[in-house]
Amino acid sequence: MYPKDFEYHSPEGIEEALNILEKNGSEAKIMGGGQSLIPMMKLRIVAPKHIVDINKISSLDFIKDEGKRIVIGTLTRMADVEKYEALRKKVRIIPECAEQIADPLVRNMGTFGGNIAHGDPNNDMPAAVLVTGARIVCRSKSGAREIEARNFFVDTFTTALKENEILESVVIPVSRGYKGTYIKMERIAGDYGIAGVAVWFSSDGERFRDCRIALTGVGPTVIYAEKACNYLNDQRITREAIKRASEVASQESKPSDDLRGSESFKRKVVSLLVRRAFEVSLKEVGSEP
Amino acid sequence: MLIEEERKLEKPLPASVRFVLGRGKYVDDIFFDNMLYLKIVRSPYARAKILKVNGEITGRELSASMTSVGEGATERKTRVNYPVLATDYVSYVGQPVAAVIAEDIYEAEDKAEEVEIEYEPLKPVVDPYKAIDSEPIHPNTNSNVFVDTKLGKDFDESADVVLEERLGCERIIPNPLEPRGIVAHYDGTRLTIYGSTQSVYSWKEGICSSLKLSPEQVRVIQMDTGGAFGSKGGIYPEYIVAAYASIKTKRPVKWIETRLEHLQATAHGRGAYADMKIYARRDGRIVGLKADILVDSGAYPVGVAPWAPSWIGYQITGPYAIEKVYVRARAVYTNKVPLGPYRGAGRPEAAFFVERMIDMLSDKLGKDALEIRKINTHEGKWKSPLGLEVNDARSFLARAARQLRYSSLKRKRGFGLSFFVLIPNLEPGESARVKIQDGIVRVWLGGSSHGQGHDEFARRIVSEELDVPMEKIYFENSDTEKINRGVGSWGSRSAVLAGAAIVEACRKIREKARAKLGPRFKAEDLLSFEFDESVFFKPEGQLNSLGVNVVLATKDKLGFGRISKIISYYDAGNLLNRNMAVSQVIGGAMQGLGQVLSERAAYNEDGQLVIGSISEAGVLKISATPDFEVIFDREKSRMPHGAKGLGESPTIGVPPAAIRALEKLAGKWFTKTPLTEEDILLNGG
Repeated sequence: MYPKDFEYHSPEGIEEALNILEKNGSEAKIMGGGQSLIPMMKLRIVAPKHIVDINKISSLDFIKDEGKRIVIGTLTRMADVEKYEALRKKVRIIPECAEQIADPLVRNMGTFGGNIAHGDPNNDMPAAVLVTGARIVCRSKSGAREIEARNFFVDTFTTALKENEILESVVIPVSRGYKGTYIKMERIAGDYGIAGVAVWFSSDGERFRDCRIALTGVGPTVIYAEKACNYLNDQRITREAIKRASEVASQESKPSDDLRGSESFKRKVVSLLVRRAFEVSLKEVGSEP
Repeated sequence: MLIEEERKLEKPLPASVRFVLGRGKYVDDIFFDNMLYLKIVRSPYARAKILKVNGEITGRELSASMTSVGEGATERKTRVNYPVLATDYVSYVGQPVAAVIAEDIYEAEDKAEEVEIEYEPLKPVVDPYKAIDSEPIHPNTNSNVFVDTKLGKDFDESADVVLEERLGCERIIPNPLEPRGIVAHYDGTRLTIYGSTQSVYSWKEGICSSLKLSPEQVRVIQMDTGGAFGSKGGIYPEYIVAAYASIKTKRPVKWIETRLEHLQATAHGRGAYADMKIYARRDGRIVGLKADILVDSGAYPVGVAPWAPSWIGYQITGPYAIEKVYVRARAVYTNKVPLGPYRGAGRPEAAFFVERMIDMLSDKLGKDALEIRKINTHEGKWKSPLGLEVNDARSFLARAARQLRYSSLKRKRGFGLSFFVLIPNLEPGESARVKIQDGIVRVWLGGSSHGQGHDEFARRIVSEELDVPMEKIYFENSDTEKINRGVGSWGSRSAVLAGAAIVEACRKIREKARAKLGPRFKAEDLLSFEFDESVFFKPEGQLNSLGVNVVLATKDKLGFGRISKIISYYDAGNLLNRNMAVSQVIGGAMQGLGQVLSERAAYNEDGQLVIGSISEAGVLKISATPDFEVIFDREKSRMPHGAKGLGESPTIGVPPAAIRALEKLAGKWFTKTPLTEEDILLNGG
């Protein structure tokens, strides 16, 4: 429970942080809230030689409502994401997801960017940003590039972020008329969930349009349930259609047996959560199936 | 630096207030200038031969063995030696093999990684039932079965209904918030130990015995202790190594357990199984009970394992008047950390076994939960064939049913009832010392708080007995130097025994004061003199009490069964402090619920613990809290202050009632704890 020696850097600007990354390559690790990194270092699962603490770079701590999109800086605490009014109004799935992460202590420190950049398939926020069609802004010394959230998560603890890049911000499109939510099931509050589900969709009152479903904790990365989405698009809004989609999503999940349940049980939970997420979202706008 | 000097500067605060103010003083709060830090190097294998060890402190140098001390300690000699540091072979993941000391803990951690140990892994024995016929894990034994006792007389019975079931309570990791810890300080002649402990006396005995020290050479002081649940009553290899390292270096040595070490290397609880067989008449009356109990002892015969099988067997009839009882009680070695006492220590296991059978019988016969229990109780005194005394079970049950509004509660679908007996651990008694000097009263007990708040009842009894205001009464943690003889705090005993000892010590002071000051002395008079009385209170006979739990469960929005309410109706005798009693009941109820819902020390077939954090261990959090209702049946005991045991009641009563409530919703029988989430997904989702 005591980490190996490391060199601690505390840059005050993003350029300085990028210089440290450029110089130390894979031996450097960015630290935001440290809620995942510090425990892993204490258990000596990881032992980075250089810790680049970005907490002094206040320009990375922001939420900007630009009308058609909302931009969230990487250093924004989950507790702030939870409380941000414009998000509640325009892309409610994001704060709804934030408030389900771990416990208030973790959310006071844990950052929006960290939850995404860590690449942990059990982290909640990836599923929520993925279904909103967000873009991830990554910056290196040579400039910024944007990656679609769907292409960002490569494997467990592996993302499209390069060694010399910082996840700078996340751009979330504001899509009028979309609804959805994030729900998860945990055995113990604050433990990794058994599964989590994000749904985000539009409808013309009768039929589903542009459905997006993403799954947490049931595969090597967050899973985009493409087949379930394709099935549901243009279907009439009925219990049967939702049930069918939930079964397809459950087939698309790739859970494994562990303490939290067997593979088949987790698939069942995925399907229960997908159904519940649609039911809750539809109930709120009065178009119950 | 010691507590006493600090205390004199302030008014005595209840421990609970001190803790909230951040003024608790735990073992990890101790710092000496020249202190060294100890790190233990542990076996990564469940079972392996040790081919080579190259480290700072190894078993070659520190060739000592562990002794059984504390709750459930045994003097029984077994052929199995539990080395402080393993030399020839290791028997569980986490077993200490070597140790390093360093100027700070970071350096110690780095040094530990450099210790070279070569192992030849062997196939471990993990499943306790398979252990019975497996190759012995200890080379000098013939079998892994090291306890095989029979209680009562075997019988033949042809009853209307015979019900057989294999039941089990899987192992649980104690997980107090504060892990284990010790500071050992040898000054060249004497060894002073500061510890997070339930018993300074057990530690002293264990350290003296392993290191061949005389009692005069060792003093043990209890620091504020942040939870224990049984796990800190006995002695562990790490304490012996810390004491040894301090003697060797003549410097203070600190060892603080990490959570991961706690999961692997602190004695687990429960781990008991039973093949139960009951014989009943069609009206529900049980005429005979047979139990074949198996305790998963882990690798060494310390802790409770040698004693647990027959202790569970002794109380297997619960509060019921069952005429014929026959028990076979066994303990087996497995390649796991040794088993230890865990809140209730055998009582919850016995209650789980008998209550499960009664509920299953009630289903079989279509009987109401209360009716089937009532028909099996006795009015007045009852002594079971195995010697367990139960008083007025029938009238207690009737009172409980009335108070709990049973007839309306039982209409709920997810409804579970349990009825149990609490046997406080009274042997061999407990001590207290009350000292008046410099205008204040100080009180010590043989066993102090690890979260229960002993100071609350101790100060109150002193205040009432001596008629001295609370702000003049200081509670001190246990210290072998302050009271010569004492036992420890476990087994629902402190309020009963230490409480009685305080009463007697105060009465002695009053007698002496009367002789000195005449019959009408006042508190101020008393405080201006010096008195010092120590009492070791030895009770006679049994002091068992009864309890009933009702647990309600409902279906949540996803379709899972969830516990919604826990109602407790316990006989706690004369309550010494109602708030503390209610807190004990709620905390214990959550612990009992944890056993049913999630807590489990899960091992895989390689004997590797697959639990890596306190969350994974299944400890419940506040979000899992149901509603509580706590009612006390306050029949005074024959103790001078009327107290009875309480601390373990909820861990005994809640599990069988909670599992029953969920079972009723699920519509299928449950036979072991913990359940999985899959078990409580109702109607298959």
